[in-house]
Amino acid sequence: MVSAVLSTFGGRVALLFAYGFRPFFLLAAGYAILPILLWSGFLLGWSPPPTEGDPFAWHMHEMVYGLGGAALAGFLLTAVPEFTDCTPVTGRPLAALVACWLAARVAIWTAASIGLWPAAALNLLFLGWLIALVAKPLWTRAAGRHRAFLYGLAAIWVVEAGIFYAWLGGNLEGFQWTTREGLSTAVGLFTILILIAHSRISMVIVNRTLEDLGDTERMYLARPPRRNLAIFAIGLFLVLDVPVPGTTLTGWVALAAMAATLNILNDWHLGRVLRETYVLALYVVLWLIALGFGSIGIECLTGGWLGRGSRHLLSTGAMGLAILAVLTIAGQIHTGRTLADTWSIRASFAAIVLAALTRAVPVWLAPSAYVGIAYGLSGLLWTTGFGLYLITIGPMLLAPRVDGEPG
Amino acid sequence: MRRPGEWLGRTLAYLWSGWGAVASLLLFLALWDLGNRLYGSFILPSPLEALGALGELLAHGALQQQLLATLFRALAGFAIAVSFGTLLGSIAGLSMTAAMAARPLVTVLLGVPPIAWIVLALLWFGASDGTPIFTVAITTVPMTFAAAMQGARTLDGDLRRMARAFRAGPWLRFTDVYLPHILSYVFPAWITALGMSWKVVVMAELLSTPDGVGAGLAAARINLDTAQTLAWILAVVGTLLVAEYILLEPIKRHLERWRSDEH
Repeated sequence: MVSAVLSTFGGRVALLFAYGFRPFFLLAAGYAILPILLWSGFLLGWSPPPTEGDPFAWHMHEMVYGLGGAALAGFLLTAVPEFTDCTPVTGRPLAALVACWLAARVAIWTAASIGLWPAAALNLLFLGWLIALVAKPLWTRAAGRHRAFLYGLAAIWVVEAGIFYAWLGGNLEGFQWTTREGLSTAVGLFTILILIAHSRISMVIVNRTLEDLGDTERMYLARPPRRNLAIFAIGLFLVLDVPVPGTTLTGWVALAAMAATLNILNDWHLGRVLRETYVLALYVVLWLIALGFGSIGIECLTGGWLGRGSRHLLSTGAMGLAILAVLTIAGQIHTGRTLADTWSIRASFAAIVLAALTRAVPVWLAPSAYVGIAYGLSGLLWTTGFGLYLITIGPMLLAPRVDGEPG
Repeated sequence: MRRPGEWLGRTLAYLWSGWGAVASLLLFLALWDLGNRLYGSFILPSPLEALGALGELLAHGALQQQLLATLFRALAGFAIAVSFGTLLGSIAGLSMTAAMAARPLVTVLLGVPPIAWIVLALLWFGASDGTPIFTVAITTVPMTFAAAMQGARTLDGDLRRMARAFRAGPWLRFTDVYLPHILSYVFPAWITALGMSWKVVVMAELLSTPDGVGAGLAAARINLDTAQTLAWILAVVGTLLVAEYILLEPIKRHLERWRSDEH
């Protein structure tokens, strides 16, 4: 009896580590919710989250590197074997990486009592480990077509090192580089990674949807020059944002990043295919990136008119929606399903978009008394979005593939 | 007859494709802003300062008035170049002898720097509208002439014979065989000529007339007002960009459709 229970349990655990997306997508969705509940409470007047130093840095770091890191790990460990036809990381090595991510979270949450050093070491170890796992196939296979991921990942690791350097009290001579600025840079780097990953995902999703609609005339093509111009502009913005933040110089480049991202949408205007849930979600990600950089540009050119809250269009909006879309798409496809178009999935996407808008827009328009309500509402919407994910897709991640294939 | 919805879709798609151009223009503004940070506002005012000066000119109504005066002169000169240059060029192209004789003349006319024409025009027309219009016309006529001549010279004899064999009348032959071919040569030259007119007219005005964008530039120079100078430049370049991408480019695409597909 006991052994039977144990073996079922063991089976479940083995299944959880059968492929990278399973544990990391679950953790990502769960971790999207928990810190945001605490954080919304803090913004509404409860006690600050348990951390060392700047609570805003804690919030940003856990969203970008905690949630973002888990989502990134799940995506890379699943997509890289598919892109490059290499053996996936599963079983014990995967479990060890998951343990490292969990340990990094514990270290951040307990930093007030054990100091920041363990958090710094574990977070850098996790990212470095992840990069090491995917570096070889990304570099050598598929004629090096996916190397762009590696450059982005390396930059994200370096910025993480800089963030902890500043968090530990380090000071870069001549730069106003604080943990928060570093985390803003990290959000920008994630948008670049999103653009790279987005193009590969879209090629499959949009063309498949066109086919399903019976549209044989049109074909979606993610044109590299358009994407590269956007990546260049965003990268230039991130570089300038370090020495000359908030200046008109940086502002023009941010507006250029907006225009270059809107230019990518030229690939997307293919008629009614845009009304389909998954295509629309991926399309809106680009809009959120464009709006995010547009509002940053206006903020810089007007000397702070829109306020820094508009950066949530990039983080909550673009990152949040891109992560949820990838979690939803890969979660279904890699458990052997076709993409379902249910009200709960639609609602989860809509909730994230609304969460970003309620977080960013009222700060521009409403008197500050109402902004608190907007924060609360935004947190609620965000939690709803990822909560719906855990309810609808979560069980699939814990069950075997429906088509009986391994993984 | 295509549906209006499709036309709207095409127009929107065309306008939307402008974002790439907007992106690179914004990057250029950033470079300009960098220049401002390095050299200061006296040497190079920032894009925002120039835009502010532009807004001021606009608010006073000076901008619209001067732009209209300049636009009239540029278009008058351009109209001469388009009508005479193209017509004479096409005729010259039909005759091998005329083409041979005209070629050196074109080279000579193209070789004379516009500034030299301005001096001559000043002597002939004084400080009137005539100076800029003449200068624009004389500098752009050789361009349209040469292009039309080239177009007429390279008319496909086989196509002409085929049109005759099908008993196509002279008018049909003209609109369906000769015109598309010549237009494909002439149209790019018109665009170049328009850009040229717009630049030459400002230069001529700077030296000759009491009004127009060129005169505005001259005034800004006297007042050592770099911001206003840049505002005028922005106005000139902005008008040109709008004319090129909103007006000429769609016409060009429309005319050149026969090249890419069967429409």
